[in-house]
Amino acid sequence: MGRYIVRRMLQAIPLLFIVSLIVFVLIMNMGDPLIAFAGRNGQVKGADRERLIRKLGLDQPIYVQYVVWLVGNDWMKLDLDGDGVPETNGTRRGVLRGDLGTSVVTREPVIKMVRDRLPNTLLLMVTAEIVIISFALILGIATAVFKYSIFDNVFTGLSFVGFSMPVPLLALGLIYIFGVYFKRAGLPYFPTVGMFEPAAGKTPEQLVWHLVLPVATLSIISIAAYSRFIRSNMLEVLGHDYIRTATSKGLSSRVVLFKHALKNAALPIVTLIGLDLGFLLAGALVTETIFSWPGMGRLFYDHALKSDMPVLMGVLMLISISVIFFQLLTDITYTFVDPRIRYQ
Amino acid sequence: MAVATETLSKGEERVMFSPSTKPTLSLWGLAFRRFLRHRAAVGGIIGLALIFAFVIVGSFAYTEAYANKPDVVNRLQAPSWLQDPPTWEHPMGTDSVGRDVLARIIYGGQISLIIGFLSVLIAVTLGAIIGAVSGYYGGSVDSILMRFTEAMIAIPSLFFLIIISKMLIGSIPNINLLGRSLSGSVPIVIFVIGIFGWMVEARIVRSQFLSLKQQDFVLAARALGVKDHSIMWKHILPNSIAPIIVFASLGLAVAILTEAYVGFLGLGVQEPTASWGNILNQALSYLNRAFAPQDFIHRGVWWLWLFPSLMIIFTVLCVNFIGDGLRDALDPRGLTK
Repeated sequence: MGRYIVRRMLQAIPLLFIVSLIVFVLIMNMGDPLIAFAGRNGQVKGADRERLIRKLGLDQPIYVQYVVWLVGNDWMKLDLDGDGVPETNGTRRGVLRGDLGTSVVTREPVIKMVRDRLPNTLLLMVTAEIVIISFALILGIATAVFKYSIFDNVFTGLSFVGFSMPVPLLALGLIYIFGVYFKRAGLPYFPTVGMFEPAAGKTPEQLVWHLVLPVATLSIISIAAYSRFIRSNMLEVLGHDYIRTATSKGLSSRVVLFKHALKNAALPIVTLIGLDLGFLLAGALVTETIFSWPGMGRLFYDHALKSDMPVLMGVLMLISISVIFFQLLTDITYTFVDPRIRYQ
Repeated sequence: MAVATETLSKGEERVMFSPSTKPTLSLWGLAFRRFLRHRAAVGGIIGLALIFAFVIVGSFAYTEAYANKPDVVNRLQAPSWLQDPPTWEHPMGTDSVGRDVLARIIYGGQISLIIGFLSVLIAVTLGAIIGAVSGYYGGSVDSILMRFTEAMIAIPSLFFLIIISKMLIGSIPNINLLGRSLSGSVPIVIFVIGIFGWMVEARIVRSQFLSLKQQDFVLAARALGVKDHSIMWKHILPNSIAPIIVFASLGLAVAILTEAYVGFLGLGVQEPTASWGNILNQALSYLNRAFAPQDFIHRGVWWLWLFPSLMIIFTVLCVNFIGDGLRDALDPRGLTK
């Protein structure tokens, strides 16, 4: 099994290179790279343009740019004044050494901007994920046990509505009802913007209060999809002979359900959750945008509007790394939770 | 198998196993019967037909010029049947430059549905080609294509969609089609959603090819000297058409939602051409501009997002029901037991 884990890790390395290549090539070929420096309707022109192109290394062939992006250019001399003699030392350290470049809008290192936003996103997403998994497990198991009951049928209908739900409808609906209608009616209402009320300061109560609506938005849609998946897995397992055996030898239904059925039904569920965990880092673009939550999704959206390529590439790379890391972790976890699998 | 019986409704099982079932029915005939017995799926078909009727008949009631005509004096009017005296002038109100929301939903619906269907067509074609080549040839072709597929899965597609639409939008001039002028962003959105939707299908088709290419009929075809591409497309692909259809129907729901998200973020179809997504965008820009959603609601602009998103949820719901019905009808596991 040790060899299997090592092999899987080695497979992840070329995968990461392919991802970085796709991200780099696509973004580098997306129109004028200097658009972020230009004014509202213009382009950077003339001498300014040549100077910037040299400074950003865009005069180099694309494969040189890719290598520089990966490993940096502090080991080579650059020709910044355009006289054909390279004399200035490069300053970039490359993605592989943790330098994601510098934002062309804020002039800050991308890694610092990400570090500022990441905790906010993780707070939102991990809270949502906990809510999602707990509710989905309860609902999924309950609907499987009471299949074709009124409860199951009603919930099946609701879950279809749930995973057909566009995020804007749910988010704006929640804002309308709990943020505004409640306030107008004099009831306790939920805040709808950001993480803290500027007047109240950065207190934990404020944070919890501000988390409610975005977490609800994220959860309702995912609970619908997860619980359907858990239900069908539970039903498949509950139809097996060993469940009948367990029941007929007099085990309590609780033991049968949780020890015999759920343990086996858990395998695909573990996979699903593991694969989703990687995307937690991405935050939720639409939800964060609606609720002005200062996370990764909002960072990405704001800088996409300003064509800030280094930030976009940095964020995409980080998310892809996290997705691949969690895929790896899911596969390795599998070797522990499923003893039936043998690895050569 | 347990799953197969579970996904069928009770009435269906009785029909399936009763001796009156005619054994002469073909696979497709059987699937069609099973689909018709899936009540939600039939409801989905009817619902989708109603939506089509709505966006087509509606375009006779309002002209597109009317849907795109600003009328700043009457901006942000609430639905006119709520006003005193109630009229039917603007049944769903007007948007922030005074255009009629109902007319925009009708023309936006046409665009959103076209985007959904065409982008799924692109995704399905790409997925079938990549999956088929990968599964049929195997070896290094397979491992390169599958690493590429895995890499595409690891990149969050909505993020990528946003970058590409941001960069490409505006690069194509308006298109004149059948006497209508459409924003050049429409084909871009179709293309972009299409090229990010094929990965799951490629994997399904690949696994189908892996198992089907071992079967005797493929061996027989090869022994007769049938060419590789002909074996792939004429012999193996028709046998894996069922999962492709199921995938396409569920992909349509995702494509319509994706269009709505990209449009909502202002990076999809560009105005004045309407789509369900960019009608919603008005609500977002209002939310951002006001800096106080309380104000946003107090000014009473709920009709800006409620009506288009109800259309989206209704369409996606119908498509999901149809996809569910198709899965039950076409999934070969339903034939066993």
